[in-house]
Amino acid sequence: MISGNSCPKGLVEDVNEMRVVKAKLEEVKREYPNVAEMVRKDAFRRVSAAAVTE
Amino acid sequence: MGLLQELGFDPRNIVFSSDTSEEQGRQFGKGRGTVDCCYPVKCMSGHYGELVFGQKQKLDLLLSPMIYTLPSFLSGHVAKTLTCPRVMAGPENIKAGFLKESDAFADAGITYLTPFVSLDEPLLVPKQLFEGMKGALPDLTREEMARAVAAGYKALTAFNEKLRKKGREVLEWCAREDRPCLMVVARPYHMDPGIGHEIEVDIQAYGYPILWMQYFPIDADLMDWAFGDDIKAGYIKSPFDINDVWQSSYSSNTNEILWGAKVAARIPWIACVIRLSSYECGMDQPTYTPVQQIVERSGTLFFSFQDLDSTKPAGSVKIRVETITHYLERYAASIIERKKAMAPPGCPLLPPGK
Repeated sequence: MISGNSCPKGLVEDVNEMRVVKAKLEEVKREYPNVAEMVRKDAFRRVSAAAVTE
Repeated sequence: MGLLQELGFDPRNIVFSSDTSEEQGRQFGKGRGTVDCCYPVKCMSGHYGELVFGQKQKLDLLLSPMIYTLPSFLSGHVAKTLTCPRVMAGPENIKAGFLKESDAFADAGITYLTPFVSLDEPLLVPKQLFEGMKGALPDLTREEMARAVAAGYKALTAFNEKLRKKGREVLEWCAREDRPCLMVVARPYHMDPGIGHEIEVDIQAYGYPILWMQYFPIDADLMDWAFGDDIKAGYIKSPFDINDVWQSSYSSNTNEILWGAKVAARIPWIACVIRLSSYECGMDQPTYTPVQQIVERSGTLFFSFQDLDSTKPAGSVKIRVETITHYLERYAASIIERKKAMAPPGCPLLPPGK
C-alpha cells in the first residue's frame, strides 16, 4: 500500500473538504505570489465581452 | 492585442489557442507532426489544429509570425537578441503538416499569415508586418500599420513594467522580512502550464514567492547596487553586460538566462534558483554548466528540471519539490546571511536606515 503519496486535493473524501484544501492553497498563493501566474492570467487571453463594454 | 486592436479588429473576434496540453496535441495535432527534436515547437501542431478545427466560430485569418529577433532589456549590451532558429522557422515548418493531403487552412476558409518580423528593431517592424499582412488586409496602409505597431509596443512595455513592479514588491517584502524567495531561470514558454508543467507552483504552495528572470526588476538603483562594483572593477561595462560569463551573446533568451543566473547570485533573498529546460533544447545545453556554476558559487541553492516534454512527471516532481523545500527550510536563513555579508552596503530593497 502506498500512503501519503498523493497531492493535497487527492487526499480528500468529500467536496467540502476539497473546498477547505482549495481555499488554503489559494490563500498561500495570494500571500506568496508567483509572477508567472500573472502572465498566465493576462497574456494571450481572449478579451471578454464585459471587458470590451467597460 | 495592442497591435490588432489598433488595426481595427474587434477584441472579441481575436482568438488565442489555449494553453498547451497533451490532450490538445492528441486531439488536434495528431498525424501532423513535422518536428521531433524540440518539444515546444512540436506543440505548435496542436495549437494550429485547435485554431483550424476546434473553434465553434470559424476563423478567417491565422496569424503566426516568424520572429527573428526579440525585444530584450539586454538589447544594446549583447551581440544580438535572436530567437532560436527552430522557433523562428517554426511557423513554416509546422505549416507543412497541414498541407500534406490538401491545404487544411484553405479547406477551412482560413488565410494563413506568417510575416517575418524583427521585434527588436522597432523601425523595421511596420514595414515587415505591412508586407506580410497586406495580402490579407487589402485596405491596410503603411501609416495604419505604423500606428498599430506603436500601440503594440506600448502595450508590451506596460505589461512588462507591471510585472517588474510586482517583482520589486516581492523582493522588497523578502528584504524587509528577511524571507527567502525563489527565481525560475527558464525560457518564456515554460510559463505555459503544458510546457513548464507549473513545477514552481508546487514549491510556491510551501510558502515561497516565485520570481521569473524575464520580469526581474531592472530599476537603476537596484542594478547599480547589484553590479556597480563589477563595473568599477572593469569586469563589465553595464549592469546588462554578460560578456564576463557568456561571450557568444547572440540568442536573446540564452542571454537573459545567463543574466538571470548573475542577478540571482547577487540578491541575498533569492535563496534558490530553479532551472527548467525542455526536451532536447540545443540552445539550453551549453548553458547548463555556466548557469549552475554562477548560481552555486554564490552559495545559492540550484535545482534543475531538464528534458521536460508533454508528460508532467508528477511523482518525481513531488519528490524533488520535497527535497527542495527541505533544503530551503534548513539552509535558506544561512544562505541569506552569507549573501548579505558578501553584498555591498546600501541595498535599495531594504527600508532606509536598515
